Amino acid sequence: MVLRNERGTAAVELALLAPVLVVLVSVVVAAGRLVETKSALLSVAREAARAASEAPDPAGARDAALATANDVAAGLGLDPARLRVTQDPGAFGRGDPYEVSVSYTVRLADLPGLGLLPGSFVLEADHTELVDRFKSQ
Amino acid sequence: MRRECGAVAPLTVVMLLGLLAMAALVVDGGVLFAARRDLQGLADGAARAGAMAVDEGLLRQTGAVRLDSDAARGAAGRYLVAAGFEGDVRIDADMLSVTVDLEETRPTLMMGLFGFRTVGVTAHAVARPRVGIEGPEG
Repeated sequence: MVLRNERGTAAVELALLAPVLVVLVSVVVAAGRLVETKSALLSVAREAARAASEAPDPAGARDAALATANDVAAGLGLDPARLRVTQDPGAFGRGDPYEVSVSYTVRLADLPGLGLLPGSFVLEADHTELVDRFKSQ
Repeated sequence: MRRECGAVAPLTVVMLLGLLAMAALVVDGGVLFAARRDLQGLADGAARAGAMAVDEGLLRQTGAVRLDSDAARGAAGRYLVAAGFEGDVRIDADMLSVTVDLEETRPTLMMGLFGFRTVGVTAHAVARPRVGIEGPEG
């Protein structure tokens, strides 16, 4: 194949390459979002479990964990409506484990992923804290 | 004119590889930060679990808050086992504080394309028992 005129081949190649670049950039942006949210969720779970571990009774622990989770999530820029908090208070005896699990739906639908990226992604984090052995009753 | 139809393609391949490497670095850098935070949470929890092992006999006799260091090591270790941690653990405890050092190898997401399949993560935490709600060392 002999081309008489090759002006414009670079432009054509760039045009062909553009979708790949767009997807690559989208992947990086999505990864940033996911990592930021994952870090935030780890903090939310940790602070919530910590709050629960110092509460006087199971009901107080549940409320404290939920309130703390929402506070921390809002402070870290998460949407409380998309945050799910589940708690495993165990026996709530002194020194017993208290587990808080959180999940959050990250939206990726606004990124031009050309169908290669999911529209949303659910991230999870959990943390276990031992109920304070010497907390006040 | 010499044929140049193949001249641009190698350039774009090199460019794409560079971009891919940058994307991999960003993605796995983020994953690494999240992994560190995760591990730090475990180390903090284990240290705190250990720091609850106050020597109650001594406390009742003398009012001094000191750790039962064996019990502290045991409590921190049990916390990590319960959490399913499988990396390297080093727990030091004396009468005043518990120190937990964790080290773990995690797989990378994209850097495997460039030969970096795993990355090491470490976390260090110290916890000591405190009495009352005064300020530090109160």
